[in-house]
Amino acid sequence: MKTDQTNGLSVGRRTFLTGLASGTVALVGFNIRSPAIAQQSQTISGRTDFDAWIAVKTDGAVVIQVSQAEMGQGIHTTFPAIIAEEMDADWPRVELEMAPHDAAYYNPKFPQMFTGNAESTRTFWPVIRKAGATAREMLALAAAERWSVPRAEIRTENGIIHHDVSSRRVGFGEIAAAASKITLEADAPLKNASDWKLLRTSLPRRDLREKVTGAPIFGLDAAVDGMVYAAIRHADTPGGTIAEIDRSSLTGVRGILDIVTLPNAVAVVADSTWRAIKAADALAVRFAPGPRDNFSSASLDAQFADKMDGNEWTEVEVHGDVSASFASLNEQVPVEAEYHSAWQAHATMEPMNCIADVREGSVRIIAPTQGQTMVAVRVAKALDVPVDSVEVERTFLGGGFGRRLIADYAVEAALVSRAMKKPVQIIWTREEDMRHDHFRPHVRNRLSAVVDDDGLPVALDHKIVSPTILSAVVAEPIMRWVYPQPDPSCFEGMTREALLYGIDNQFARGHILDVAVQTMVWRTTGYGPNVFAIESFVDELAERSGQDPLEFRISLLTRTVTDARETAKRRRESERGIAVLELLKQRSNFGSPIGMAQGIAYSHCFDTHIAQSVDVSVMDDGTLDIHKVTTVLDGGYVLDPDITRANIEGGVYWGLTQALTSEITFADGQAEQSNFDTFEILALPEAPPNDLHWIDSGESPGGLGEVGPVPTAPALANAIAAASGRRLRTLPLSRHGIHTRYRKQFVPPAHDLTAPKN
Amino acid sequence: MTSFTINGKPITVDVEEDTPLLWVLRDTLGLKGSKYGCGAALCGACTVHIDGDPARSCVLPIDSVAGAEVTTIESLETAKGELHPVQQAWMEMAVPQCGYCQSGFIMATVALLEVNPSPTDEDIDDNITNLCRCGTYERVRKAVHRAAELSR
Repeated sequence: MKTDQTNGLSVGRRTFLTGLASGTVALVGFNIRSPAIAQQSQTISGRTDFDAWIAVKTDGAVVIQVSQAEMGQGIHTTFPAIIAEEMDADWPRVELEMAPHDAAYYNPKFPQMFTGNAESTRTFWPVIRKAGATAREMLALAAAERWSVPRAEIRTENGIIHHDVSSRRVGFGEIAAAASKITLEADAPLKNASDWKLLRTSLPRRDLREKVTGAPIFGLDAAVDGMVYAAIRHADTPGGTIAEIDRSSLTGVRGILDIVTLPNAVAVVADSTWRAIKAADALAVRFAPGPRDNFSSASLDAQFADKMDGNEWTEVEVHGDVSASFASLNEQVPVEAEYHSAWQAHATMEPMNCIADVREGSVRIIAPTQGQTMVAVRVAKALDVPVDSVEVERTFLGGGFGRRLIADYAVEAALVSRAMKKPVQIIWTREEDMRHDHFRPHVRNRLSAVVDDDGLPVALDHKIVSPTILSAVVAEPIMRWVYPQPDPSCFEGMTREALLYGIDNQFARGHILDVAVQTMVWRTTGYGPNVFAIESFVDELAERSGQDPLEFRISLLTRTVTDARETAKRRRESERGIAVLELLKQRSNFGSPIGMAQGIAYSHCFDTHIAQSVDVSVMDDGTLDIHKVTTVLDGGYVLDPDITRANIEGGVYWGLTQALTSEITFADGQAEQSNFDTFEILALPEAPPNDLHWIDSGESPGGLGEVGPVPTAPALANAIAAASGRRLRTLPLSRHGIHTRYRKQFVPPAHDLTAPKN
Repeated sequence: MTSFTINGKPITVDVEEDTPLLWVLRDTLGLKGSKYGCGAALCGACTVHIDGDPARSCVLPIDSVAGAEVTTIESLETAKGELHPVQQAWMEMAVPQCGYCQSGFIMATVALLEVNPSPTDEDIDDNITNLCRCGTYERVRKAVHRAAELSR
């Protein structure tokens, strides 16, 4: 157990390899250790390991490895609660450890250890339930064997095994060693939801005390003996290199240890963080431009416009015959509109940082990371060492939002440590963090529809132009293996799997745009831009035919439910969607707004159904009052009501930020925003009250961390259209002079904004 | 050499006089509860008290606090492990998500309640200007009101 990582939690050091096909492991370059180790449990220093997740100490405490990164979403509470529930563990005596990087913790769908895409609960749910149930059965059977009684007479509760007939009892800790040798003859039964004690209750978050006392739990708080500090200064433009460094510019500066050059950056190493930051800023360095540095928001906009009007498309969804529908219009013009989402920075409150200790034969990385496998693979490649020589330890994350899925900062830390022959902590200043992010790209969606006599669409043609968001976050071999399409994340929400509305003819196509800007996923992934477009467009269709926007959506879902040609899955999911909209109608008093108007949006995303309404008033000068946001969701079992609530509250504010103010623009190949003065995020005075309701449908849990913001921008834009008649199709809305009462009148960026069609 | 009082204890540090207080706290004194978020007094993650008033330590040169009383989040919990009413309220309302900005919110709230024991929503709007990317604002507001109750 390492003790020098001051993150408030010990780090598990054991290594397992369980249940993974060898081909999967080889995919990311792991040396495969003997599969014979796989299912063997072991008792070391007072604790018995049941599997990669669960150990029981002789004193009865249950130790759970948390493989998923805690970045605010509450997974350090819900994840162990799922295991403890099935295990019948005593919750106050459950101890948590940060799971080390290991193939045992790979996501079952994608062979990487990572936290993102709202995967932690919805994908690991069956896996860790089974782990907990299996451990409980092994313990119960060991007790049954010891007492020579039938298993059926054994009961487990709060870490104790009872045989009520003989009034005997034994604690988990006393029987763990024997239990670990039990082999189950069949899968352990899972508990009925009606028997749950931990799940479906609001548990106190496990990380609260550390977070209200300022405990040193984040990456930037971590330290190891002998560590030095490095501030990174990146080449101004993507792919830029160092042309010239005047080392004399730092001569005599106190505390400077060295200047290390990296492929696209320079690191100034010092004996304190501030000395490194100040010197990196003062360093006289000239960067050579990257191969494609001459871009701006205007040139990027031109690229998007060119491809949108072009004919280079990848088919995303073909259903029915869209061409025939459009041809049937004869001389009539189809309904068409184009929607633009803005470039976004992740702007995690904790900027990028990492500790690396590179030694002969071993590499230790301590990082606030969402992507342990990505860190290991990228660092190994950069150092040309075996992947399994790279240990990755996770800290708590001061925000993730996707940004920490990639490993650029870890690679830099490793290279600097190798050059210095010392452990090093690197820091990106806020300015570096924002200007050298991998951005959520600008996305353009153009939708065209043919409507029937009822005003409902019978044909929908949806084109999207977007740079890739996925390729940066998956290691290349996995990309080839798992994904047949160039970037399925970009198209989320456009396919019939997600878009449940009953539309007979659908054509969805995409162009993955090659841009010089580094791009990647961001909270809401592809759903964010695409649902903004679809739900705005659907609202426009309702408005054109004079229909209530909520009833219009219910009509579209009802068409799916009542169409015998539809799959059972789509019909069932559409029923859930209708139920969510019906409840929203009640809870939001839809039709009786607070203030001037209400707008709504609905989405089926991350296996969750979510509908939102926003009550607004808009003045002629663009002043916006958001009175209330009402959200209804069906994300299956609500495993922790208060954590669910927190995810949606924060999600709504994330959605409002990108809808209202935040945007990255480019000039001379560089981001123009570098801090929170120009990259404006929602502030407390403009954060509206949230009202949240849910349907606990008893379905398998859907995602929560990503879903809150998905409908927010279209619901807000639809509300503004209803209140003011202004149909705003380009985000952020500050571009149109819309501003909250709190925020000063927005000054538009200098570059030429391409106006949307219509 | 700059001398000041940190959480009630006098201290002298030997750093360049333009070193921001935040980095003296974090690197020199090992008090890591005050966070670096923006380096420009925009986000408030680094909020501490200088002679009782809230201040953003990321832009405060150390020489400007010579002789002053500096108080950080680490001072709020008593030696017996009792939390400050503001921290208790934060626990009750389960305010933190990622938690990185919360030290700053808590220190800003402690300072507000000292001068205004019963803040209105408008008082909160005017005084709690910290930024949170996770979106804990609604709970911050509730927790400030709850902390005011607990402090009475």
